Amino acid sequence: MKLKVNPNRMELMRLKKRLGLVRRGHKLLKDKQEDLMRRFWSMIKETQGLRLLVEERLMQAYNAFLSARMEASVEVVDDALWRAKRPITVTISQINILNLRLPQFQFEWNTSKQCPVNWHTSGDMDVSLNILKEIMPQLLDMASKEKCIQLISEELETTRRRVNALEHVLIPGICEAISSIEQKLDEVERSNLARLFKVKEMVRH
Amino acid sequence: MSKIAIIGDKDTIWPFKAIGFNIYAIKDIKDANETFNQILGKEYAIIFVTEDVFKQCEQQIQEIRALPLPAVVTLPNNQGSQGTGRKRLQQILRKAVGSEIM
Repeated sequence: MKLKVNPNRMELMRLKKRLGLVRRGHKLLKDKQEDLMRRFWSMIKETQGLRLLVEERLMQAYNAFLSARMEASVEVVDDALWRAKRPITVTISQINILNLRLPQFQFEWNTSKQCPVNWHTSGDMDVSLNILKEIMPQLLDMASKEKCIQLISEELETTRRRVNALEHVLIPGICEAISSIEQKLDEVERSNLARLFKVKEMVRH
Repeated sequence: MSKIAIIGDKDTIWPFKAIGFNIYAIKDIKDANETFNQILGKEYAIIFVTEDVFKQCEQQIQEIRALPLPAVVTLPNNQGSQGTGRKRLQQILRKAVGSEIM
């Protein structure tokens, strides 16, 4: 990047200060990137295990529900579901990591009534619903982790671009400008010296 | 005070009614895009989608990925898992790190 600067000492001073700032900023961003990466990795590992568990349990719940469904009519199933229904409230809390707002989900059942036993459907219906109730916390945990992973990955990308921009464009540009000013100043000084010598010669004769 | 929604075919998402999710059943997969848009307007905290719906609405889901809410999560449908959730994580990993290590 070609920085346009006047080749004088004040500019040189300004540029040197700026280089110090940019270098510090670059180091900070790099640290941020490393920290983000570390959290990212640990979240991914946790989520993969969680997802396998949840999917397995879901398949059990689905199969139980299917067999209950086959043994009962649509109305009976609907009625049973309605009876067993527990309205739910989800609360969202936010965790701040490195200037990122990441959501965490907690839930509460709105009613404390016990789930009534369904006389009209087979035991599979209860099995299925119980599994679903059991894995509620895992479902929410998975949702919040996957969302966090997405948000962190976006932030990682932005940070990486900034770090690269600083490292490969801005810092070399400033260094180049500094060295070109120093060269110019040396030139001016040398030509001054040459002139002085010439004048001295002339004065002597 | 937020709610959870789930979109998919009726047979798969039906039981979730009992645990307080708001279910949105779709008969034809092509209706999924419109249903998804409707749901986005309702400010759910979490939207669960079956893997078919995810494939159909992939672009819409990509567009909201940078928002803190809603969280969109894929679930298998009752035919079995197609590994969409895992693939999604792998894609994110590849973009973030530059290579698929897992």
